[in-house]
Amino acid sequence: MVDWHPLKRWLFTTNHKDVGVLYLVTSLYFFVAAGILALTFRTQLAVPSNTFLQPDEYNQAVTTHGLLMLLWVLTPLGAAFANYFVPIQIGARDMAFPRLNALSYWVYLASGLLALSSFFAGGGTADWGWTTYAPLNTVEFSPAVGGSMMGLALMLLMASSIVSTVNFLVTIFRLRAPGMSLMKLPLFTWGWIFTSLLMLWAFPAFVSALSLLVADRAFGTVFFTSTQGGPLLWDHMFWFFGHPEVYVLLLPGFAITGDLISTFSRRPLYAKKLIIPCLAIASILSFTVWAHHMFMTGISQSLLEAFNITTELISIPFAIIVLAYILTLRGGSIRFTTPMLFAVGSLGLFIIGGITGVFNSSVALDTAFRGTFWVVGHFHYTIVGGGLTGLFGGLYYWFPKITGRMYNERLGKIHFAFYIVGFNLLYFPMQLLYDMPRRIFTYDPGTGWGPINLLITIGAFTFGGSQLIMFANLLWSSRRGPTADRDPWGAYSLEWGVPSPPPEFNFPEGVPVISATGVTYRPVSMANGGHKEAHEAESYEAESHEEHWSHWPIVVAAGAGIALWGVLMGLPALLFGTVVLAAAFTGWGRETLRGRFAEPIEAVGEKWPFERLENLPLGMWIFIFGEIAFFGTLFGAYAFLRMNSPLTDFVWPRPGEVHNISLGGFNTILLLTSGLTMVFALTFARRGSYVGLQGSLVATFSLGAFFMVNKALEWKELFAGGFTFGTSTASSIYYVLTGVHGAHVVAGLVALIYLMVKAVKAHSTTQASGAVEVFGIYWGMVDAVWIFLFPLLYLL
Amino acid sequence: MFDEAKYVAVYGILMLGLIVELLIGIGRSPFGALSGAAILAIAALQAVFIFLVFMHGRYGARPVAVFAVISLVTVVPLFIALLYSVVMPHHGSLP
Repeated sequence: MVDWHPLKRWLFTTNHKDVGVLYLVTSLYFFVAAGILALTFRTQLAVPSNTFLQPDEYNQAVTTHGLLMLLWVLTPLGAAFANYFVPIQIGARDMAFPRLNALSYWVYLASGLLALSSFFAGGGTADWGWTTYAPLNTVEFSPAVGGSMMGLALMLLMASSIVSTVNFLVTIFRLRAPGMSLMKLPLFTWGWIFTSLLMLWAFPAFVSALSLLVADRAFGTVFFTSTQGGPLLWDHMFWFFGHPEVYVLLLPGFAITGDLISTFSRRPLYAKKLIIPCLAIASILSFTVWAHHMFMTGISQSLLEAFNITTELISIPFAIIVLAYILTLRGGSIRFTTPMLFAVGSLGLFIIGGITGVFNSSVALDTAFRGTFWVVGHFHYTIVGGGLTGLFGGLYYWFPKITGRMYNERLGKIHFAFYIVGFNLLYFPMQLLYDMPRRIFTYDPGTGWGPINLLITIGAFTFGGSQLIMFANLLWSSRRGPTADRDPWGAYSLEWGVPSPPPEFNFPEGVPVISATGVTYRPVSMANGGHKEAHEAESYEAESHEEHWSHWPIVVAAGAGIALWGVLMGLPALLFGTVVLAAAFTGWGRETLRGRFAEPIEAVGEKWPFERLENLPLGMWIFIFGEIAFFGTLFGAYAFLRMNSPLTDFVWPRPGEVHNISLGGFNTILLLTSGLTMVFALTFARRGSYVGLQGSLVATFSLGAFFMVNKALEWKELFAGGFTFGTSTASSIYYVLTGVHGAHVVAGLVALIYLMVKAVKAHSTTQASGAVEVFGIYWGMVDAVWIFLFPLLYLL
Repeated sequence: MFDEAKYVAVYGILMLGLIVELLIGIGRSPFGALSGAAILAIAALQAVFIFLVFMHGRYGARPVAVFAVISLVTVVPLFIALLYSVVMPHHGSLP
């Protein structure tokens, strides 16, 4: 596609299609790693009293398999297709923030390598199960440093996903081609909108939970070892993320299944206008069902009933979508190509997963099934059946578009046959093991579980081995397969109207314009209705991807990965990583200041409902909404600890007893005043007053720095007075809340330095006003968080 | 000067809120059991003011406001469940 040295292309690319391929290859690599781990523990369970694995090795294998498959395989595999195809499906030339897109990928890779390296950190990796339940996740029960490393890797991965989410939402809402209304988007893009929204609000909650966990493990706080917090706090925080995460895993594959059924039935998707609201309802409801994972924790009976009802409710939108898929098939002219086989297979498997899920929503039945292999069978039918199988259908479907070559259809069908037989041999017998606990590394011959487990293990090897057929087929076909046409399937979405593989900016014939009669391509100036300046139109035509490569994303990710590794493995690595990270951010900023990196020029198209917001402010607002979930969950943890303290005979410090109210109040004045100077900076920037702008930025920086100095002195004084990280839950939550807020202030101060330099280098202050506005939104969020922190920590 | 005057006025309101918070926090007696709720209500109003300043009517407030409300509403069930699971009687261990 681009005539670069391959190393430069794959290391420094910011093109959405290259990034998509990187995601694809990397997620499949993690798929193999996680699959091998699964085969090891299935070998262990194949026969009773087996000694193939030691208990601790078994625990590590199961934990890492779960975490890798869910977070480093399934979500990124969806992201691979989204990266490659969402911009094309909406008629855009690239993502809204291509360099940030590359950064998301490299941070994802760094987090995965950090997770895998935790095996070699001494004492092995995390061994607490993928749910990371307290108190198993505490140092007392899992002392290995590898566990903490896994926690940091998860935080890094979440950061990558949240950045990616912001990018996708801005791209889809702001870069659609003329005529591409939201309702015309293919189901996959719709699925990715809801996946992104779920990630935006669920992943920050997990970052909150991990912050508390890592603080417990690395700094000695007492969130999950105290009676005020303990297992129940972890359960709530984890599953508030964990259940929406199920839909993050499911929706991309499930949406692809819909598009495949429509394409290969040669019919429009039945009731698409109903499917989209159903996806929305399911996404909203997914935030109200998490405590069905906690029916056995002893929480109030009325709370159980509420979650029982919401869990049953969520099955309704999915039932409607399944019916719509089936009605699309009915009367269609069906072609059973490999992608279609995977789509239909996915639908069938998901129905089984859905039905067994309804069993689990019942408090009574869940009491019997909880913690047994029944549950393992259920969620694999849902996530692997509904999610991964659909994604594999997508892999075959889009393979000709990505590589420009057809795969071998016969081998594809053989793969499907072994896949579906292996899958059912592997997971269906688990539904019969409703009396076998899922968290044991071996069992006694007298239990009678041996024959079924042997069958399951045979299924596992059949299922795992079937993937070799796919890899062989796709690898061979990518080099030797017959050349693919633009549209080998007779499909309807925009990616099938461009060459295979697509050229660097996707639409060589011009801007796609979508109307009731179909798609036409026009030169950019015409597509914009003549409003765009002529020279800009020329730039659009002449633009080259060469202008957009950047080597900073990979350096930032490397710096972050090394620094986090160093947090646990030693100061030299931490310092080195920090220096690399600082240098990378400096380089990133200089690149922007020099105009070395420019975002691709996009034609003016559909932007509803964000016509009046530019890309950057919208991106910042979306990021802020994620921050609401992050701090909201932390505030929730605070409320939980505080409410629990009288019930556990812990006396929470009275106002003024530990914290200096005057100092807290003074800090509040500093921060609020910095908010005022920040809006002044924006006003001066727009008005063209250079002195006013620089003065306001310097004032904001000074006030923020003063705030941080006060905070540091306050910490020092509290420590000297014996109020340390682990003194009590009151001290733990104080340090975590003020620590993460302080980290936000420091990040803001760094950004302020950048803004001051930008103001110096900009030709006019109005040129800098966009960046000032975006930073102002961020600084307002930092102010707003402190507005709550001050009363919670000092006055109540 | 209109913008500056507007922002100084908002700043004044935020400061006033802070003073009232401090007064309630230090001398709780007039509000009694409601003092905590009153302080948090003032904090919430202050946050809304900050939010409005940075929206400053330029974007078409509706989409951003809708997004903000959804974000807040998303974490509300967590708060309810967290508090409920503390204060309501536990059902005890099941078999």
